[in-house]
Amino acid sequence: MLGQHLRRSCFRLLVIFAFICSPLVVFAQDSAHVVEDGQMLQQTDPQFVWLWRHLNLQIATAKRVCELSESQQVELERLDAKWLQELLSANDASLGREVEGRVIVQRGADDEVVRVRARGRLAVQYIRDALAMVEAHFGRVLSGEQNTALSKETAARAAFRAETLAMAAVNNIQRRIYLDAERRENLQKEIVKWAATHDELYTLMYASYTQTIPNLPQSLFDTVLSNDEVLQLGALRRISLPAIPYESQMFQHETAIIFDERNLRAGDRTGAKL
Amino acid sequence: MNSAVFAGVLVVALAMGGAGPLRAQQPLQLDVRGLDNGEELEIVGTYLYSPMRRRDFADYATGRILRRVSEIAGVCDLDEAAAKRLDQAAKADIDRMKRRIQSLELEYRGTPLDNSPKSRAGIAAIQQFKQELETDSPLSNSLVERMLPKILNKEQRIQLAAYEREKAMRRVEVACRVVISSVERSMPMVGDTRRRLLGCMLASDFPKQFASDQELPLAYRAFLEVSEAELAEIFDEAQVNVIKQYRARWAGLAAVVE
Repeated sequence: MLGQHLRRSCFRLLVIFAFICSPLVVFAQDSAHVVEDGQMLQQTDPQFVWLWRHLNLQIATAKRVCELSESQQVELERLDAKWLQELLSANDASLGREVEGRVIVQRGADDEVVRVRARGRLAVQYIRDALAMVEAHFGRVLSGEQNTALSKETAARAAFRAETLAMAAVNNIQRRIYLDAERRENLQKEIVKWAATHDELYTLMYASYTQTIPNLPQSLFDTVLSNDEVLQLGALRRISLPAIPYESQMFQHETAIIFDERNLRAGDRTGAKL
Repeated sequence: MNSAVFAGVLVVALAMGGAGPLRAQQPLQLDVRGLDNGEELEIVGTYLYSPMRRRDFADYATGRILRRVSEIAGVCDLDEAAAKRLDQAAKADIDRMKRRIQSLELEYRGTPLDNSPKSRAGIAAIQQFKQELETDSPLSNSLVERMLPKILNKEQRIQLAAYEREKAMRRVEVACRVVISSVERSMPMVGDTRRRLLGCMLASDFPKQFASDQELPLAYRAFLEVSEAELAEIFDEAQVNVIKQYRARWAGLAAVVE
């Protein structure tokens, strides 16, 4: 039994690791030939991979839904990894952030927590800036109608993930609490609404899937569950706790911090959802 | 590797703080917050109660039976007599559950966490009990489950089976959606393509009952089972090519389905 349990745990870890890493590997390989060493944003940095993936996804989506002219296609394809890196470096230099960033990283080099936090702050900043730049470039290259079509697709992708997140959360709650169809739907709707305020929906959705109760605000449950049920949910959350570190271990430090410090809200500069 | 040796290595590694990504985390298997007597590395506190307090654990465990009873009552619209019989069966199950916890505690309390036969037997017994508690399938040897054929009429049994099937399919659907979203991290799906792919995956044959750790392998298997003709109908050639790469990568994960 112990052996079976360990084998199952190992398999679970393997699945999670493969799941999270497989797209990263694909894009890290794609970007390896264009990214040069010595820049603030390294090719192996998760935030760079995230941006690079976002850029590629948006270009691929635009090609499918926008009926691009030849010149528009050329303009969008100019947005490769090198372009992104140069743009970010120029932006950092103009803000003096490169110097500041290097100092923070070096000063904290002996202290893992300080170093990681500093990188996390930079990563959030990079992502905000880069997303704004990418969106601005798309805004310039595409017509209003094309931009609307692209936004519609991005929103549909986010909606699919938000629904999945809500379904996963409700399924896990139903392991302890009986919900009839009406209550289930109400709770699902509330969670979807809440998810609309978050950007990294993939991560949130995936973490919610893994047999745990995600860290949803209590207020979501107050209107749908009775007091006794809220207590049961609290117990389920406690029992779910040991599973959570398994998932968070699978994320690299910087990425985990981006998610922890996730302050990018809808209506922010980009409002982009992946 | 022998399970006991592997467990021993894991315990030592975790106790020493581990290396790499494990280092930043608390040692998962050695969580002793549930202990009342302050002893460390004792199997009852480490495995049975953790991460709850001892006094909360019985409520947590019996809550699972109460949930099952509310589920049956909610789905089947029971009359008063049937509801009463169900309650009596549930009370018996709750008593049995409490006795089971007590007997585990009496038998293994104070047993140190090591490689001795008693420690291994205790860990195995506790893990089996906890796994049973934390999955969604009916409890083994439950009086409520055994009484159901007598309490429910044919129509109610059909209603309950349909509800359970629907619930299982919702679990599979979530896993399928997670797989699709994972593919979409490399390849955007536009229009209704992701929902059409989901439809094809959900049309696969899924077992009537499956453990919670089988959901994702089943979703991978469903992803692999979508025919090339169906894929060609939904996606263009470049997209099908990406999907084929993912299918090759995930073939091993789908093969784990028991």
